[in-house]
Amino acid sequence: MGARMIRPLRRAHYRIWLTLAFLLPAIFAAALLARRDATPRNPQLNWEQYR
Amino acid sequence: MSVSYQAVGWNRQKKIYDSVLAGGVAIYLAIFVALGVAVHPYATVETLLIRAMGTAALLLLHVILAIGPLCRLDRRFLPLLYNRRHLGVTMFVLALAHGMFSLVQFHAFGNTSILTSLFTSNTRFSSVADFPFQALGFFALLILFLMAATSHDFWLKNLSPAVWKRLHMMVYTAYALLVAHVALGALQSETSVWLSLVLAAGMATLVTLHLLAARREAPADAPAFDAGEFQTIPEGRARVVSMNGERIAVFRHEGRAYALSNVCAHQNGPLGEGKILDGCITCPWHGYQYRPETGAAPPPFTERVATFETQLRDGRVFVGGCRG
Repeated sequence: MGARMIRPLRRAHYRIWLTLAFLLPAIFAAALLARRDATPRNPQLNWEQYR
Repeated sequence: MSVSYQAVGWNRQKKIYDSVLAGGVAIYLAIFVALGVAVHPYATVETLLIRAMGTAALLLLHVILAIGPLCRLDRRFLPLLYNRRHLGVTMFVLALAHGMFSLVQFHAFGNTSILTSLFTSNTRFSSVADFPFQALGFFALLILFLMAATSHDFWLKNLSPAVWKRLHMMVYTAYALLVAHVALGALQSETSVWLSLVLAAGMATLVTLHLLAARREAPADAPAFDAGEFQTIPEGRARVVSMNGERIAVFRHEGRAYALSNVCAHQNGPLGEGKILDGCITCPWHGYQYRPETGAAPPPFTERVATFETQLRDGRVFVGGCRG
């Protein structure tokens, strides 16, 4: 792979990670903000023991 | 696979690399399951394995994605790059096991097929909190499968390096899908702040490393061939220079410099002796025309000449690599 292929690849990598630098935190923040309080845990109940 | 290719060209370094990898994964899974049993005594082995393999795969993916920029920033990391493909295949196997166990645990005991259940049991696409995150993991796994299946020199050679590289750059799509898979899935029910912090730290580390590596390489990628003073090129005309034995026409047009192959695609006429008419470089021999930005003939014509990167610095034109 010569410079003719490497240079555009580097540029593509840069653009992709620049996009991810905004996209990933946006997904992460949206997911955390949408998180709801779960029903309070019942310490007497462990559902997996009933499987 | 052709008879002239081996599945793995084993040597001492690869054996050491893979032994460390297999040992590390085994130790991680054992510690995860042991701690899981201690902290959640009612959790089933399947549940613990699903979590162990999912987290191991995600951790390994972070390591894999960090190796490239680390090597570009510091050559001491190059030994890690040596057998990165085996890391990738191991990560895929862990992700596949995580996916298969999850499909069996959550979708195999109904009266519909596993895949039907996966895509129809939750269709709340408009909800963030209840988004069908498992489908995201499924599509990420498909991409990882394509990459693992072609992770060999046989495919690199037969698909061509350009196609192979494009295919393997889909790992970034897979990574984004997996971040969404975890954030919309596990992090919705597992509310420990540490889990969120670990994922955030992983993302931040990868983004920082890749952008730092790109920034460091930017000067080396800048056009370096000095094609002379920009102002001395007449508007709409070109200066012909020889770069690495190739004749290149550097045109001046509306305050910008454009570099193209000096050879017309029609009959090899000297494009640099032509001029720009109606926004197109026009060959002096037969009037064939090309757009300076792309080197493509205006529609309906399909001819194209190679273009090169240009940069104006201190009043001089610098020509760089071929753009195609």
